[in-house]
Amino acid sequence: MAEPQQDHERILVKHAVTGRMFVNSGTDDVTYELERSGEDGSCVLSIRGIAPWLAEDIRGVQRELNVFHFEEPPGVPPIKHWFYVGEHDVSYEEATSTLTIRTGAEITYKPDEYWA
Amino acid sequence: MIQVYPASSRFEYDKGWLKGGHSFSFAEYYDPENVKFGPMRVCNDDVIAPGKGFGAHPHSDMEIISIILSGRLRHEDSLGNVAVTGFGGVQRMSAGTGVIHTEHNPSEHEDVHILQLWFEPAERGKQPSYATGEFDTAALDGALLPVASGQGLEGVTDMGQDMTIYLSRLEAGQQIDFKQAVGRRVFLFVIEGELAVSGAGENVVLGRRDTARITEAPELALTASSPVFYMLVDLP
Repeated sequence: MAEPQQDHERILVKHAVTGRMFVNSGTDDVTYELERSGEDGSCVLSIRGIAPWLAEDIRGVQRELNVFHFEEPPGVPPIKHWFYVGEHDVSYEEATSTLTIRTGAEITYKPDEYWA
Repeated sequence: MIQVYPASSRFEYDKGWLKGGHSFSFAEYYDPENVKFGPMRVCNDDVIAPGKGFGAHPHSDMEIISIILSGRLRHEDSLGNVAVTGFGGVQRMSAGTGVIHTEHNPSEHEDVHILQLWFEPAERGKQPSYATGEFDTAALDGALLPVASGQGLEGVTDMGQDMTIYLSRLEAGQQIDFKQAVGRRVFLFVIEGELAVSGAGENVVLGRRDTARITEAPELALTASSPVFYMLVDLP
């Protein structure tokens, strides 16, 4: 079921080695929809408002993406969801400026439950 | 060909709690001409202050080796592994389809100094795993001691790539020869001291924190110009 974006939630798309931030829905002029589609934990993340050059940069390192969904309600520790991205799981539709990432395994974690 | 990267060419960082150098593009350092050497992607020479470290963060599809040179490093991950390792220890994380982990220095007084190495795996999408290994530090003297390998070496920490990481300590004047198979790569990192390297008709001298990337050199002669501690990585 598709989950439209909520207050105090954001998605991040980063390069896993350099940490380069490609998309931060908390600051960038984008909208997103996260659909948890499969019993295997797979998801489809659709991000609208992605320029063609940025989509090209992201697709250039699609084997090395960190895709996150952060839940950051005020007053409580954040919950982070990280998604595995496989080799051919990122596509782009220029007509709608939509980047689509089909993810594999999801790991949900609470950073405050680890050493920090 | 022996390509030397002097220590002065590394990207140095000092964040207060974390000091060191990146041999390859990493974090805020990005040079498109220095992204990888074969499957080798990262060589970070990190010194972490007491009580400090890296909070929870993910990895995937990377073979991550931490070699502890001094002090102690604590690892904790989403697979349930917790380990504290000192000199003579190696931590190996095969990130596969994903793992969350933290790394920090549990000491109240002593820095931890590590070499953290990242390699692309031979196969992507595998189940993540973690292991620690130990080696006899006395066995480093006068030898090339394998400390992590994906080549099935008995008693050596395994990893998911066709490669071997060696450590070695030589007294001044001692020499070790290394045969580089056709098509293979060698990455050298001098931890302390000075190492003369001869091969493929070239002769170079590497000082502290210098590195070299070597190809097409079937016979390598490694001679200590002074007492030297170094790492050799044999890569596809």
